[in-house]
Amino acid sequence: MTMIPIASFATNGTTQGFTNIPQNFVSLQLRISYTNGAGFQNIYFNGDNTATNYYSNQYGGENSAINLYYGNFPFIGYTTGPVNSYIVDIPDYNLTSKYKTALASFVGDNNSGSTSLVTKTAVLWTSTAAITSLAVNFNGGAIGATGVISLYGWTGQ
Amino acid sequence: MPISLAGNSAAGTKGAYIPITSYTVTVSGNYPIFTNIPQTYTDLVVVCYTRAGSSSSTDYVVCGINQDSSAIHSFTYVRNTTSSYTVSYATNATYDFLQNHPTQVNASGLFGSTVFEFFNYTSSNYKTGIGKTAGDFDTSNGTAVMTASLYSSTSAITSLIIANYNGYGFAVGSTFYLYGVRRAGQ
Repeated sequence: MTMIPIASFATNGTTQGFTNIPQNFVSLQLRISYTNGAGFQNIYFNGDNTATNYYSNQYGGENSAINLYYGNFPFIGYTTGPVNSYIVDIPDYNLTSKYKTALASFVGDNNSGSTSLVTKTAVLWTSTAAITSLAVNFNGGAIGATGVISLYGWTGQ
Repeated sequence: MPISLAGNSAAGTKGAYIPITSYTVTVSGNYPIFTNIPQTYTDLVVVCYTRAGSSSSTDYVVCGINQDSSAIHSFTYVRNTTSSYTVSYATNATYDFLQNHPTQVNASGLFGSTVFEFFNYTSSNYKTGIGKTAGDFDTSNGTAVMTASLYSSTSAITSLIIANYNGYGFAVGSTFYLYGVRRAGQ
């Protein structure tokens, strides 16, 4: 397998995403690094922003505490801090025979080093539609333009 | 919302992971120092397959950035060993990450797998990284570690040192592969 860059741009808004996603890969990977996040970050597919169409379940660490969250909305992480990064894998995004899942790895920092978080989040989108667009809602975070959001596709061989 | 028309991009078919360099331990106790890291990618990935040179009962892979030993490193980790987990953290540290791996007290031939990822490493933001480790240290004791790391510096990452926490470097046969992850347009 080879990971191919599809598109990339600087972070400059509270909701950012990609449209016209090519359908010739076996899996997508989203890589995000940005500053000044706030609250939950959500991911939406194909413009579907109906929260109850998604389920998320997360575990992780925040300083010396374990964090366990779940909810009926598509969150991939939670932060109140200035420095945050994500890797989100979306396998079989183009298959119309399956509900879609995403696995997000998140690292964030709450206060310049005094608190940091590491989480894994599983997201289920209860749709069999092929994913042709996706958007990440940073939920009101003032997204610094020094960040970057990039989309990649994994080839099947 | 700001969008990117992914289907209209001209990313080509060249892979995103670009090999930069690698290092294999041929003398016990040695460790890699990656310097002059190219500044032409978005993220860095280091794939490590390691075993400690020490005989400590527990030891860790750690990472130094820019040979900067000032206390501006911090990290939080979740570690699961057999049926118990630990969540802990360090602030004002002089290094990043704390990833378990086998030592000389474990059966010969046992190595641990660790992947470090550093995001947006040339930016003027503070630098975040994630460390992921899978290790089986004997027939009954596996360990998984996930770590968030922060280097509170606006300097670009130009060098990395991968080291063993208790000294003694790494065992012969330990390997390290450094990749750059390019984005579309790079």
